[in-house]
Amino acid sequence: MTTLQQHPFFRPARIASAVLVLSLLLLIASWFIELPQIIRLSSATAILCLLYSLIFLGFGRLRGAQFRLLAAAIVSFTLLFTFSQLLSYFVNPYLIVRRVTPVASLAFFFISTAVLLLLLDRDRYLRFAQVMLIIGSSVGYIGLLGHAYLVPEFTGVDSMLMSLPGAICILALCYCYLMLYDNQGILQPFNTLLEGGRMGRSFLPAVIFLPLAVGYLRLFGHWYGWFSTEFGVSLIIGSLSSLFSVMLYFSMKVVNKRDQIRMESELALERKNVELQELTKELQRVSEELQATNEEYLSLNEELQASNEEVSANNEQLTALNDQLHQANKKIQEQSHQLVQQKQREYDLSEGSLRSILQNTDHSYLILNTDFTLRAFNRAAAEGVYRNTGKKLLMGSHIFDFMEASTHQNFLEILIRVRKGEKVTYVRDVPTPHGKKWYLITASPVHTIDNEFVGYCLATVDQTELRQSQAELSEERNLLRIIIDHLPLNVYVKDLQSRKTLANKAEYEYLGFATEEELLGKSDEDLYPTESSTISIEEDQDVFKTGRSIINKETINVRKDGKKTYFLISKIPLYNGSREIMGLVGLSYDITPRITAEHKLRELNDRFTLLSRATNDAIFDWDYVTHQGIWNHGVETIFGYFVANKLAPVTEWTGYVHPEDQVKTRIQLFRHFVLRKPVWTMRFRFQCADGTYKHVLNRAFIIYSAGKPIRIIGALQDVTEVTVYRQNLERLVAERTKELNDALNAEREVIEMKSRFISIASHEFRTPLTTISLTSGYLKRYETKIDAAHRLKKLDLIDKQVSHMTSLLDDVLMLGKAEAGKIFAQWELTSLVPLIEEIVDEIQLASDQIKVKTQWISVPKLILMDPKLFHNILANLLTNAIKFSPSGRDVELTVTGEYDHLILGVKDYGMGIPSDDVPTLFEPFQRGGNVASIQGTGLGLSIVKKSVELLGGTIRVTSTLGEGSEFVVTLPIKSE
Amino acid sequence: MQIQTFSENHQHSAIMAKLILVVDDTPDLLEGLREFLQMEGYEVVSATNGQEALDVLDAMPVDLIITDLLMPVMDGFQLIRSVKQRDDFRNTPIIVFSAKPRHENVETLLQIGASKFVSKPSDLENILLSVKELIHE
Repeated sequence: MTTLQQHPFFRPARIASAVLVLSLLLLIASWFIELPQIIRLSSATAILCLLYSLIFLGFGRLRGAQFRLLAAAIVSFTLLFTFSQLLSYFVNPYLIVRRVTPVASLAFFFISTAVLLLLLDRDRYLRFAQVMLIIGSSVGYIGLLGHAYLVPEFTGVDSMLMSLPGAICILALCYCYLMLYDNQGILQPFNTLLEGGRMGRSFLPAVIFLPLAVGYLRLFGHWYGWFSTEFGVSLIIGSLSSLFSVMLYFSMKVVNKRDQIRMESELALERKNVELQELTKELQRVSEELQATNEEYLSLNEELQASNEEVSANNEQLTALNDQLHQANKKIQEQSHQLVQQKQREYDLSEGSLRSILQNTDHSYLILNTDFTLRAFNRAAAEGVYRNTGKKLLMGSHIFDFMEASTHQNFLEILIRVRKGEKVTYVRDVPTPHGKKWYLITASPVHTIDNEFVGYCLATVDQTELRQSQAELSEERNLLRIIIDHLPLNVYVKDLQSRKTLANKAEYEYLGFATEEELLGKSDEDLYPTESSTISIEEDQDVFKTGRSIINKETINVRKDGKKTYFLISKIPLYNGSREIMGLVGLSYDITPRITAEHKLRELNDRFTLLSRATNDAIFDWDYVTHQGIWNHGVETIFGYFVANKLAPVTEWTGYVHPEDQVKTRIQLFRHFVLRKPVWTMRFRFQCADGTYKHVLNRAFIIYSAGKPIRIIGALQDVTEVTVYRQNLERLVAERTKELNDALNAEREVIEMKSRFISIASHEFRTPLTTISLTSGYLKRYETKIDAAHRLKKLDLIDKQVSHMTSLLDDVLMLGKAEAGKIFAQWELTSLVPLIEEIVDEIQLASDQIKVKTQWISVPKLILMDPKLFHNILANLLTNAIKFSPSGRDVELTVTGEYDHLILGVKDYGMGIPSDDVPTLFEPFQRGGNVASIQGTGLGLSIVKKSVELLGGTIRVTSTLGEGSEFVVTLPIKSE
Repeated sequence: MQIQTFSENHQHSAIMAKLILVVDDTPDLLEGLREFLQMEGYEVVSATNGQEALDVLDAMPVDLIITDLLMPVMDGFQLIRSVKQRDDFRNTPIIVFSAKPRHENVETLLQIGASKFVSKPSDLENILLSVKELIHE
């Protein structure tokens, strides 16, 4: 039994139920209002209806065990109640006024049975429950009919009839509960999506309400006498029959339609089947056919292949034949062609070469007939004539037409000589528009093979250029002469006897002649003193013998007048056309000025070397372009590098700078480069040959070219000694300063201590002073008003304050003396236990809250001790222990005697000492950070410390902040 | 904390005696002051530190406070500040009776609300004058 809420009917059922609940509530309210009998509902019925509606509302959602228990209880109660009502009715129908009518009771009986079955939640009870509900609704229906049709049986007995609202309520309840499971059990057919379900749903209201309406109509007709009873009955029967007919019609239609559809689909299926079979058959047939065709094709193919092979064989034979024919044909053609070509070439060669020679040469050729007319001429002749005269050569024209008349006679004579068989060559100048031209003309006779004279041949060569170049050559010679004369060199030519055959201006002027001619023919012997000339002549002879040149030999020449000149001389042998030495060319360059400068330079250099030797600096010259460095001997004396040694820092010597200074050095250098600063001075450490470093002062000069550094020259001065000395000095100053500061700090501490002492002491003294001043003032003021006892008490108080101040003063004085070394232990024989007990009692007097617990462990009786110092120690420790124990816990004193020393332990459970304060704990006027609000001088523990020291003992302290402190004093025992 | 509400020797018994709170950690001094002030007709309540003084103020209204500065638990400075923060004692005059601190400390005291500073030691007349001046008798 599921899917309740999902069903479309469920929602209307719930709404109906809710409306029911509301209206029932209204009806219950109506008990207090007078209403017509017909619409009044008995209270019991109303309450029952209400309860059932509520159960229904809860049905879908609250199907838990508790709900079911409650619902079952209500249903059971209803069963019993209605049963008892029915019984009571049968016992005495008039007895009870307010009760459920029998019809209603009956209806409720059925409904409650149904609900009980539904609550059991079993499928097999569902149908039964539905039947019960249908019966219940029928009862309600009858009740409704009773009202509608005014049934006398019901109206007769007043209490039989259920009220109209009761009937409606019961009907509604039944409807609702039926709708709970409207798609299950006997209601299931109504709820299908099939045609039957649809029909049932649409006809059900008609089936229920149509008879009601018809019955009502019939009764109206009867009551008001519209028609007879028989007509009414027929009306009912008719209407029912028509209703049933309609239903029958629709059922038939539905069933028929369904059958028809089924049959149609069967038929269609069969048809499809047949079609399929046919298709299969056809498919089979087609495939068979295809196979047959395929076979046929195969056989055809084979045949075709065979014939094809045959054809191709034939074809090959034909092709081979054809090829043979073709080749034969080609060979014949080639042979004939070659033959023709050869003939042609032979002819072309003989004729063509001659013609081409004539046409392409620059020489002009003219061939004249015996009557001096032109028989033939070449291109050069035609061009030359045209250029010179502007006339065109024509075949058959007279040669004289192209010549000036003045030359005719001369030319005729030449031709006559030629006619006699002579070959005549002559030169002729021809004036042309381009200037005078020179021609070399050769005229010769022309004979046939039979030696018959047939004409003249004139061959003409243009010699103009030749003539011009000769002229230029002589010009050049002149030029050369001028150059030689003006060279700043002494240039001369000597013959084999060392006689001058040529001399330039410099040479003859040097030798004191005005012209060249005066000098020529003279030998060195004539010109120089014997010692100079001998050497010179030997040199000359050497050159002539060996044929080797002397190049740039440096010599000193002395003239006859005694003047000394430095020369750079070169002597080069001179050959004639047949490669024989015919003399020499001498070049002497006066280098006297250069030599003088060199001498000066050497002197300067020597001086510089001396200077650099005199200094103790390492001077360097660093070519920044090639990165080649030069050092003086300083690099050896200072750093131990040998100047000549490759180990010396010849290249980038920044690599020798101490690694710590290197970055600084490079940056400085770079900055200088960027800013183009010339002077570079800085200190750094430089590596020596043995690996150690020396402090050097670098002073250098940077030379720039085009904004780039090209050379750095400078000196490294060894300042190690100075630097080390300075560093030592600095260290010494720092040490002295520190000592001074330490002393100052110590002084300051003393001053601080003093001021601290003054402030604390003043406060500590003021307190007792105040009390004294108050008390004395009091005594003075009220002298007469107070009695003797009171006065005595006040005086005692003053005494007490005075003694307190005295002890305070004693403390300070004692400490002062101890600091000054003016106190010494006063050893005396003391019995220890009474001394300690006395001190404890004294302390105990001041404090009654905190007790001192004493523990004795093997304590010696008599010892040598200074009781006063001992008192200082113990009294101060105990006082402190009590003073700084705000907790109120007792103080423990442990006295332990050991072999040669005494141990005093004072332990408290007080506030403890902050660890920061422990180091200064025993210094005078030092107080813990946590005791500022507790009075004290800060003297106690320093007195303890001093006393312990005076007794030759030790003291140590262990303390935890907030938990307490323990002081342990160890004193040596001097026993007798 | 000792509270003595009735003086043994009151000269001004007709009117209600003024109540003075004396705060000092030296018992002898406290006792001396109490006796003296009672002889002069004031009622005295005493406390040995600032915290006790505040407890007293919780219990009763006082007309004047005389306090020391250096005390355990809570010192005079803190006491003055606490008193001045309380609405009911904001206008109560406070005499600081203490060993003379440094000059700037006196100024601080007057800034935070002390009415007068009397340096220790001081004679009775001086104390009495200050008390009378502040109580307006």
